Amino acid sequence: MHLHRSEVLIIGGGISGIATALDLLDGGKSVLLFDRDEAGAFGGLARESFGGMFFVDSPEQRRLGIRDSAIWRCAIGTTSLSSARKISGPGRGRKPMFSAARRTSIAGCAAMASAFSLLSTGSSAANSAPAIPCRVST
Amino acid sequence: VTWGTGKGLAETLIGALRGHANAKRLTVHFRHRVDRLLTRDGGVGGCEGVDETSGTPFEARAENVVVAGGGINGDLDRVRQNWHRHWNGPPAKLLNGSHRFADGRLHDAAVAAGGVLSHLDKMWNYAAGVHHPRPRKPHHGLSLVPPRSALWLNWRGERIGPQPLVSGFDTRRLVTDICAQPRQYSWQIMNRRIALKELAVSGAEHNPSIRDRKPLGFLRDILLGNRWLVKEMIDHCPDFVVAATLPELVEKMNALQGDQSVQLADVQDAVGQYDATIARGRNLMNDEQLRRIAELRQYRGDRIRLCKFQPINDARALPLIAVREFIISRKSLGGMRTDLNSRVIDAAGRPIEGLYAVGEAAGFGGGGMHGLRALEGTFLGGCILSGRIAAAAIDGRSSFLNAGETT
Repeated sequence: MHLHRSEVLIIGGGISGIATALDLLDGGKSVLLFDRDEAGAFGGLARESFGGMFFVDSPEQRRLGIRDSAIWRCAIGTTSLSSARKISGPGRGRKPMFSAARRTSIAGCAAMASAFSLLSTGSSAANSAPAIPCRVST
Repeated sequence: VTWGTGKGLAETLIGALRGHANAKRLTVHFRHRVDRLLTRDGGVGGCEGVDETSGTPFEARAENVVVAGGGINGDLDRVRQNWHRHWNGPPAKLLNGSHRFADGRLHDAAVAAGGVLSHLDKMWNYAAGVHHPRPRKPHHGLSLVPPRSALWLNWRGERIGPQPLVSGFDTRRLVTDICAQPRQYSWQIMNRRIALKELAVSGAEHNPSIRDRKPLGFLRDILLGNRWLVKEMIDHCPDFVVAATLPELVEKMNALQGDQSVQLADVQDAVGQYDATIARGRNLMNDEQLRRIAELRQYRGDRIRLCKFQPINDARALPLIAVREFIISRKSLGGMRTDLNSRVIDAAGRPIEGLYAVGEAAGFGGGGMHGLRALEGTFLGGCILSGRIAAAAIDGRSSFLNAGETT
């Protein structure tokens, strides 16, 4: 029996485990990551994916004259992650993440994308998120 | 789409991990299978499993444990057990387009630690799976991006309707309509011209020009047709058959299926009516598939990869190609329920101390944030977002978690 110790343990080396590890390293945590696959398969299913990413207010959209913003407005008149938080916060409790967004898939995606955009721009300068040349398909 | 596909994204982030200023604080162990989560004072404080290289068991202890092990769709038995009620019972044959280790083992471990699973019947499966030409796991499938100018027929060779199946509008409905048939697989009939212009395979492996970031190759594929892919599929994929005439094509379809289920008369009817509708000209093209093609062609990005009202049985576009397509399992839209900080919650809705779930293991966030359907581009994003939220929660960075409220 081998015993490992660490502050944080991540099980799975796909894109979510890697993103988690990157931010934890930014914060100086010690991280132990286990993956069942070979080292060459690091990255999991994301490695085999086409790489579609949803963006808000991208340069391509602006070039085509499509107006967009990181604030999601839906029928209930609230905004992105903050709305999901407020609706699932005290009083309504115990709802899964983005409960408001789950009303429709499109709204859910918009909320997710805008939340992601907000969080990305709001994070620290020391952030490890790399610059990847991207094109937007949707 | 990421230039370099998901492979480029993964390798870039792995490079960022390896080159990180704190890289020494990260230890990665491959070929380590985790079987159980270790509980501690009502919370979770580690895991145990087996090092599959040596066969020796291991144990790990940590203040916080993040489950990022993917969904359940790599295990076709679990896919069948969680088959959605809209889909008329699971098909006799399913292909596997998920990860071989996305088998739900960690879902069981999370439940044993008090977690709750939700929305597992909501899945992102595709309608047009074919056998992988070079399989690396049992029932290994490839998901075709179904050509929109092809005719989509049921197991007998009848055009599926009354609304014809056209990809790119509602992927889930394609699955629903095919599963409503007595035999839950389908055929697409096209010709070489359609295949060259429109045939594509989802994922990195079969888009090498984009994956390997070769702009000239990418341009060549668009302008001249994807000759490499069409040849690879015709030569090596068992679900592709090619013939010069419809009778010969149907004969080969039946030989592939091993029975006489495809009716030549039905295929001739479907192809004949469709081709005749095109021959009548734009003003009288009363067909929903042709209307959709016309609409799609208004956008330049679609126009360059769509034929212009291409008949099937067209002497200038032969040979004919038929593709047998199975439902292929891909992604779990449900998973471990979490709160807004990616903390796994128990049946009473209380967070389990020290346990987080992110990515597809948590249905891309929360235990299923998509609902019944999903949009292209929301999977990688959900994985990254839920992971970053877990890291911020572990670090106690409330500024990150509340970013949406302050903007």
